[in-house]
Amino acid sequence: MAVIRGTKPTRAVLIGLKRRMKVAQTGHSLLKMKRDGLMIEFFEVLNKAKSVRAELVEALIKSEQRLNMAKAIEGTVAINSVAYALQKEPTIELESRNIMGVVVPKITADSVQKKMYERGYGIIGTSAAIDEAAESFETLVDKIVLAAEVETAMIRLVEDIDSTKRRVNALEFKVIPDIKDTIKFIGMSLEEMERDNVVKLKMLKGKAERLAAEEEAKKLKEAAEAASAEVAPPVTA
Amino acid sequence: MEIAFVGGGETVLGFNLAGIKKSYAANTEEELVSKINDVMADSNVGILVLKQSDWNRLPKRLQEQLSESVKPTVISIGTEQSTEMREKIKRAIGVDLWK
Repeated sequence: MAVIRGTKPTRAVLIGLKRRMKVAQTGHSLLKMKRDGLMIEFFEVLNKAKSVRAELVEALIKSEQRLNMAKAIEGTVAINSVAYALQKEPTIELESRNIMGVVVPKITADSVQKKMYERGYGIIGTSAAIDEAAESFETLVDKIVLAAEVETAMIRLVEDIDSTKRRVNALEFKVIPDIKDTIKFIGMSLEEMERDNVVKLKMLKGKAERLAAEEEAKKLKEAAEAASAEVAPPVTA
Repeated sequence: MEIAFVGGGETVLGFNLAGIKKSYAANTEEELVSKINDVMADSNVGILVLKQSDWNRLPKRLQEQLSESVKPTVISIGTEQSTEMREKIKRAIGVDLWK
């Protein structure tokens, strides 16, 4: 029995504790629901994250290969000059979304993929290797944008699930049992005090009755003595 | 908003090809940290891309700060699996759900 330390067994405290108990129970059930909701949300994101991660790694390997190929064929300088010629920059839109109190980023991007003639460098002056490298890196960036959203959301969710779980457990296994025990303890103490009082009252009443009876007896005795004195005059006069 | 990349020289070239202007080459750890701080201070960057191998070299405190950040969102790419996420899931759910 773990009674909250320093509680005084009075009726006022008991009422306060009962109120706290109600709040704790409501909070507990709400947090439990939040935890379950987050779990559902998490599993959805997890599956997405797994596939996105796999695609990302695949795209990365492919684009590195292509880049090396382009470097071997054209040389770093040529690739650099092509890169300088590029005009269109990929832009993204970053918003935040709220999943049950967890703020997760929501990233929207218009596809980075460009047509060959949109890239801004001449088609004739460069080889296919550079085109391929550029294309595969564009795919990679697309995947990165997706993965950034999903993975950040997942980390956030995991962190929040962790803290929510802690709170649910703390309420379920510590706070609520403690309050319960304390309420029981105060109830017991109050009953005990009641019994104490009954006994005390009985004792007082008995004492008062005894005193009254003694008084009565004394009075009777005195009256009897007085009466006998009147009847028989004192011997020594 | 834009995407930024910080990392080794080769990959910078690739990201340049994809049209990302804010890709910075950083080879030593000090360069890495200072460039990352620059990018984090840039309010126009929405996603910061790092290589997993570079991420692993960063000081723990910076890693913590980067993974907390939503704006910009930081993502590390690489062939090796990041153990951090796995650990986190394991701790929160109690089961290793990642693969």
